[in-house]
Amino acid sequence: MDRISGGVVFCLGVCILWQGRHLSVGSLHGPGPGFFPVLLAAVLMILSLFLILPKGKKEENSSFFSGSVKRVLMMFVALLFYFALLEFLGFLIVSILFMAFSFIAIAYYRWYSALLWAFVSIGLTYLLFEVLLKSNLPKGVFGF
Amino acid sequence: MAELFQNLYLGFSVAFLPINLFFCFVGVFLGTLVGVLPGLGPAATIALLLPITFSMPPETAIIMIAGIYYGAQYGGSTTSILVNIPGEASSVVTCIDGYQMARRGRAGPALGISALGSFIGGTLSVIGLMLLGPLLARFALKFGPPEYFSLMLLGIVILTFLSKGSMVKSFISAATGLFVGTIGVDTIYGVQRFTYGTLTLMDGIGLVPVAMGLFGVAEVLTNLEQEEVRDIFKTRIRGLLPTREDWKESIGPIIRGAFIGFFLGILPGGGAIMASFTSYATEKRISRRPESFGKGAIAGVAGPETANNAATGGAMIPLLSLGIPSNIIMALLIGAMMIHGIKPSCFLVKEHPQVFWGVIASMYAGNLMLVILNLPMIPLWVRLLKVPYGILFPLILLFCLIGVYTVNGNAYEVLIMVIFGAVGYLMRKAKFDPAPLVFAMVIGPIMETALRQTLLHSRGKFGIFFTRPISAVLICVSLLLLLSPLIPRVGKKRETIVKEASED
Repeated sequence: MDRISGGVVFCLGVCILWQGRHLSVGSLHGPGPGFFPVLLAAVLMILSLFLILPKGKKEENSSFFSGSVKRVLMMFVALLFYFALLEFLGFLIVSILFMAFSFIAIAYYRWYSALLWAFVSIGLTYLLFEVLLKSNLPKGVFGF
Repeated sequence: MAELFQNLYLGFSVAFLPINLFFCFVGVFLGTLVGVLPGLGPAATIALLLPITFSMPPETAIIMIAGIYYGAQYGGSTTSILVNIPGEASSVVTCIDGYQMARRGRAGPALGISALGSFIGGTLSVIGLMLLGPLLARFALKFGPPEYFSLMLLGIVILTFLSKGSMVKSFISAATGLFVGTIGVDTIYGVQRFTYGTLTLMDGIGLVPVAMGLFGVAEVLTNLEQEEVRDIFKTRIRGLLPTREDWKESIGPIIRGAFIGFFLGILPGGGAIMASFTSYATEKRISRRPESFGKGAIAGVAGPETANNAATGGAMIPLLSLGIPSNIIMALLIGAMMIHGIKPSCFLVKEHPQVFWGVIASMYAGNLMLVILNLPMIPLWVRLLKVPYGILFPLILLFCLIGVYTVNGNAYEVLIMVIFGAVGYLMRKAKFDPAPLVFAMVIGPIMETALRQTLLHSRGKFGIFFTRPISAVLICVSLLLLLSPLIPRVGKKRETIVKEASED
């Protein structure tokens, strides 16, 4: 487990070096824009070795994911959809869909109580943010 | 002395403006609320409310945010005592004796003494802040780039020393945060770094989407993975006021707790968690009946609860006088000040006296409101714990989504939040503490500028960090802390602290 996360961290360090290769490092006398990122990448790579190298210790064989990973994935995808559709459909429609989905698919409410909760919660938040605080929530192609 | 009263008068005249009183109340109320609800901490709440503060005067905004901070410390203890779930990391110790007291039908006095102890601790630390803050600000004039760099390094070291899990992992988290802080336009040469030409990244990655992703979204995702089983302790709460016997046992711990909390709160990276643990350990050691600890000793509730509230006052000192955050909440507070055009630095007291003294005076008012709010309303807070998670989590997500969007009206920041939500979820699973990441991200740009200025000044010699006395002391303390896990006794002690703290 630790070895995998150490590997990920090492890769992160390599990525920083690669993506920052055009930034000038400068010298110790006059460190340039690339100086600090390179330093950090080096620190990350050295630290990751502390996770990768130690061996012999027997890892307890508990799986990384326990319980319902499906729900986590579904929730994550729903959040991505929320981002993708937000400016197209507007705050009201996307949020009601999002809430209804969360209540039905993830919290297992019956569809009618889920819809009720979705409308009530969105109505109240709309009142609070758009009407009272004038936050300018996005409007979609339908104009609301 | 006359100057002090004049300043206090200014402070109270700011704090008692109706609008400031109102938002102080909103702050402490919300703070208590999120302190009670597990799964929504003060960091996420402040991030959530940042956009709302845009239209307020700066002192009002900061008064409210500070209210959320110390309000959450109050609320966190309620759930520790009644349900054995610490609402905040700093109330973990309260679980030990508080929950035992509740099981023996003494939930009332436990809640009462923690509210009153919090009040005393909070008030004493505000007095300390008032006396020490301006002094330290004068001292801070001696700080140049090397001292700033060393102090921030010490902050990161302390934070990683105290965070859950392995120190290596916490350091990785902090280094990643420092890297995230470099994204955007370079402060000295104006070169774009890691922006890929996008407008969103040019301003740097915002604190709000990262904090909400790592603390709000990630927390929900983690909770969704397991079925939440919450055991509400069914007990009648009566007799909130501690008896005279209780007072006799707790007055010592309260006073000691206030001092421990205040001074540990000043240390960057430390704060409330360290304060409550130290207080508990102290009380247990000097108690005449140490065997009663862990079985419902009221001293074990009174001390730590006082200490974690006293730490909130101490934590404001480096922020208001040096412009350096001592924990994540303070980092968010810096974000709020910058938005309002106030650059936190040692000149803050002079340049914005209405902010400095107004916030201090509001903390007196806020502490009083909290006692009034908490003692009679405890049954209500307890009922809140019964809100099913199925209703709570979509609402938390919705607030995160709205909050992030409204900061800049930029949908891409929603994406950044969702991504950091996933990162935070994976970090939790792999046992990386996300707190150092956010902390480092905020101080990253200040730290980088300080380091580069130092090197320019010293012509590339690192020795300057050791030849300037203040900097040398700070660096040596950092090194000691870094090496201390190698010393078996200290390492063991850290392990026990961390182990107890990570049971939340």
